[in-house]
Amino acid sequence: MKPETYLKNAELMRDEIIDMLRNKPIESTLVERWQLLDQAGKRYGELPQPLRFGHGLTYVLENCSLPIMPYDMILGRFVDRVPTEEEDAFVRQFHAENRQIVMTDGGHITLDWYKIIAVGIDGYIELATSEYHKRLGNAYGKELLFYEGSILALNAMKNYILRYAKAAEEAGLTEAAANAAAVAGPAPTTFWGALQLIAILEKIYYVYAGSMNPTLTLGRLDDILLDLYTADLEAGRITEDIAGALIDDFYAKNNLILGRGEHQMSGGAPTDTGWWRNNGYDDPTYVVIGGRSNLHKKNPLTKLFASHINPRYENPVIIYRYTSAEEHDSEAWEIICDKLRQNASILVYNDDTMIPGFMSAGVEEKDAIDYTVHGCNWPDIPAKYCTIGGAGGSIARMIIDQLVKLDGTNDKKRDYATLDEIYGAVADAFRTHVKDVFNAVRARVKADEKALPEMTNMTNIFTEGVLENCKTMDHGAVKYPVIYTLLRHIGTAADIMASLETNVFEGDVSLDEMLDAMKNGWQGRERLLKKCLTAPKFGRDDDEADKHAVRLMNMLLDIIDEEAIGEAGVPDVHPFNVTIADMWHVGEGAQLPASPDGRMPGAPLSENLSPTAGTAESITALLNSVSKLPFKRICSGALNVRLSKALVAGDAGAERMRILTETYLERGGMQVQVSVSDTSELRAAQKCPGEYKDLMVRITGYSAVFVDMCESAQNEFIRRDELA
Amino acid sequence: MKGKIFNIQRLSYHDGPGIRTTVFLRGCNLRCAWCHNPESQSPKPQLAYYRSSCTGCGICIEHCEKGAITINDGVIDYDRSKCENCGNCADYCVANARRYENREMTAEALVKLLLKDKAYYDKSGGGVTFSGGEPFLQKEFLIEALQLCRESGLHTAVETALCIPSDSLREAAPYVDLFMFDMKAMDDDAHRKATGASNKQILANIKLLSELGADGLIRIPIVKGLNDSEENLKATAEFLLRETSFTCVEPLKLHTLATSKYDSLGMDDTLSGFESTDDETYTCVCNMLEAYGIHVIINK
Ligand code: SF4
Ligand code: SF4
Repeated sequence: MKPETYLKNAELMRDEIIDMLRNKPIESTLVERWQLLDQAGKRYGELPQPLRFGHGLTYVLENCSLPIMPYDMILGRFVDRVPTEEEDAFVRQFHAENRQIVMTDGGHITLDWYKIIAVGIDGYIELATSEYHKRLGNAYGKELLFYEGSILALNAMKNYILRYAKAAEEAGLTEAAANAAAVAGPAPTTFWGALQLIAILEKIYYVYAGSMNPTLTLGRLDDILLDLYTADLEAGRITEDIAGALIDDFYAKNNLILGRGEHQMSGGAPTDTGWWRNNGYDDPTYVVIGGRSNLHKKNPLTKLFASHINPRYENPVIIYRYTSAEEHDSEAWEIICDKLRQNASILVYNDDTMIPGFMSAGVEEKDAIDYTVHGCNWPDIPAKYCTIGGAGGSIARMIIDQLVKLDGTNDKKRDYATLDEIYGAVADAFRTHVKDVFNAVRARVKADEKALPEMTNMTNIFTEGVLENCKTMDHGAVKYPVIYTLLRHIGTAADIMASLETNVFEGDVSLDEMLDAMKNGWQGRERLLKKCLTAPKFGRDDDEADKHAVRLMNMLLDIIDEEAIGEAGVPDVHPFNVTIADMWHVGEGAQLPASPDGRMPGAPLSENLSPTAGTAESITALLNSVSKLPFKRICSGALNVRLSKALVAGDAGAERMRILTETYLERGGMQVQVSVSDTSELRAAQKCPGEYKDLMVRITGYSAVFVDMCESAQNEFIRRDELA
Repeated sequence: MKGKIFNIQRLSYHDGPGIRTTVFLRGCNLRCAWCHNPESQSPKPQLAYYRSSCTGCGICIEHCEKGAITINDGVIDYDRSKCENCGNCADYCVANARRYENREMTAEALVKLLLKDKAYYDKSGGGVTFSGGEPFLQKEFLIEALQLCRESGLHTAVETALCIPSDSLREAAPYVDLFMFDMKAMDDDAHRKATGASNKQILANIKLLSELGADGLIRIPIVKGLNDSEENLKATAEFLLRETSFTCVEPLKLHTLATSKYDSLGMDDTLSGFESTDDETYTCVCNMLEAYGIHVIINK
């Protein structure tokens, strides 16, 4: 292909995606996927899981269509269309009867992309085959089945790529075909080949192997691909422009899987993407760039990947890792800030807190350096991690639970003479809970020492230690079996403590009065309610409130650290502390009575790391408050900020975007995700959705087209403070 | 001593270079017809009532001893003539429809707050702006705060109408990095009519600032019929170029934004007598000023 053909192809692909994101019918579904899975289930449903998966994937990948467009440079499409009435009935019945038995990949993971690129599919086949042979002397048992299934699946992937390459050849796409064929088994030797391999494995994962909403992280692409890119440049195989066009194609194709709509809050509304209808629904693919590296101190690919971000795409969601270390590339960072102000799908993470955050959970520094996150904002150590437990919850709820009985009577629970006693009660209850969870996990880890592999799937195959040790990832294979410890709704929690302190323990309100007023939902207690509403609030850079956020967090983190210490006197579990709350501030709040911060019964709590809606007074105050939290002990969480268009307009706005974000990160902020949207515009979009098809917003860790969200989700988004 | 403050706006970017915090001090000695901060004019706090936020719950009624609030057919009626601005009702209004801004702060406390955003100022070449009202009406507080800012390494700007004694200006100048002021009209009668005050002292102060070698950002809020004429712009340019060392002017567009603020304070939106500045007038003013030798800064 001539250089200009690459650019032209990328442009055509972009046009296709922009049209698709605006106009794909909301009823569109992966009909063929469901039909093939059904047939595979009927053929292989009776087999033990490893063979069921191996044969099932082979069947699906041998029989699926291979759509190709004349401008494809990276191969890998699938059938996604409006079903006929009959097909729709079939899909519904398929799910009603729970016939999804062949595929088990749940996604929410990062695969071992470094190794995939280093050894290719053949490398995995060799590994599995040699481990299989080592065990041949044993009785025909679970171990051999496990390898047989894995080898079948790997060969299925390999043959699918070859089949696609052949189809492309027949369609006249000679170079794309050769590029794909070259990576069907062997490790990629070029930048283009590597992108092709990642893209096609991603499609297999999302479209066929994934059981439901399989959000997947495609790894630290700049770090993984730099050596191949440099070699290509030196050999004259590629130019920066051609590489850019390939990235364009790659980015664009990440959107193919998306269905229009939104899943977190739409619950059954016509705009609910529903995983049964569109397997990938609006879940994100994440691409990670920037940050510290074990391999490269300077990386020109970071800038290249950054500059090709298209603010009109929902996918991929770019995870940009900011660092103050020598890897920091100020030009790439400026590009990111400019894209942020254009409302692109970017989540910014801070290596300066994240890496210590992982290390505080017992992760070695060299592993922590390679961290990624997967949808929505869940932290991981790629290929070395697996979740085996969960603890914690809403801190706001933990406090309310110590004040009143949450049994509907909301009766007073205890008398407290000081605020410290309330802190103490929260701590005691949390410690008991954490101890129970950690002990259960310890028991499981012990049992897993003898566990045999029950199951194979793509996630297991591409995770370190699984094929090597003949153990599945969640039963002893991985280096870091992890417990996610949730610390949610810190804003409301801090506000509750601040109001109790100023109004009750240092003010003229008795605790009885406060609890009675809460029980009655503030009826007839407007003066007290007003006092509670005007008490110090988290998010205003007011230490009177922020100190409680910090104290609560540190108190709970101390307990986690103490309970992580096992019998041998050293930590023996890996708690990844996260503040992720998705949209749970709505559901959790709905179950709770009024709270001393002036919250109404059933009203939402604070959203993720944000202050309670309506309290923010300025973006700098908000960022300062949030950055006081002890993030070097935390591994992830989301800070959603909604900025007015005026604030970030033009070159001056881009500069403001950079200064605000950078200062926040330098002060110890952990993460930020930006939506640029004015309330007036959002309201107008609700009235005339047809005119706002391009209006994108960040939901939890992904993007959605605002007008495709249901009304309650839209209103919840509008409730986020607009910061001007 | 304590300053009377009606608002502190963090992350302001229209009141001087870079990212700034703007402190609005209470009280003003002019009454510009187009004032965007009418709540700052009175030296005393005033009750502001935002009808659009009012839920009509009626709770405020029983907490107003003056009987200024009544309810008729479910609609809240607020009689300003009876209101004595005590602020009591605002303590009960959970909808925040009745607001009573009564912030008093020492200069130390204020500067402590201003320093919270120093990192943002430093990165952006920003700082702190004192505005109003007329900040010089609280001269002692202003100068104390300016001194403290200077000691803390903060860039300082003061937005003043300059209708103040020259001595105040002399006293403050060593602590001010940038003065921001308007030239509203060269014709004294027109100036009086539009602002309630003569421009003589203002013009004298502009000359003084020039003599003192102060940095100044001069603005012309373009009011159709008041200052957009060739005659006025020519006189403005001649004054600046002949009598001062200032050569740059930033013409400002006026918008009728403050209507709800006027309404909330029971004041007439006096800008109704004036029109918002249209693009054509704005461009025309800019061109004329340039023709007379002034460097024009375009307001974005
Ligand atoms: S208390 Fe507030 S919301 Fe209720 S009627 Fe009075 S002004 Fe309106
Ligand atoms: S400020 Fe005082 S006098 Fe005026 S309405 Fe409120 S309570 Fe009545």
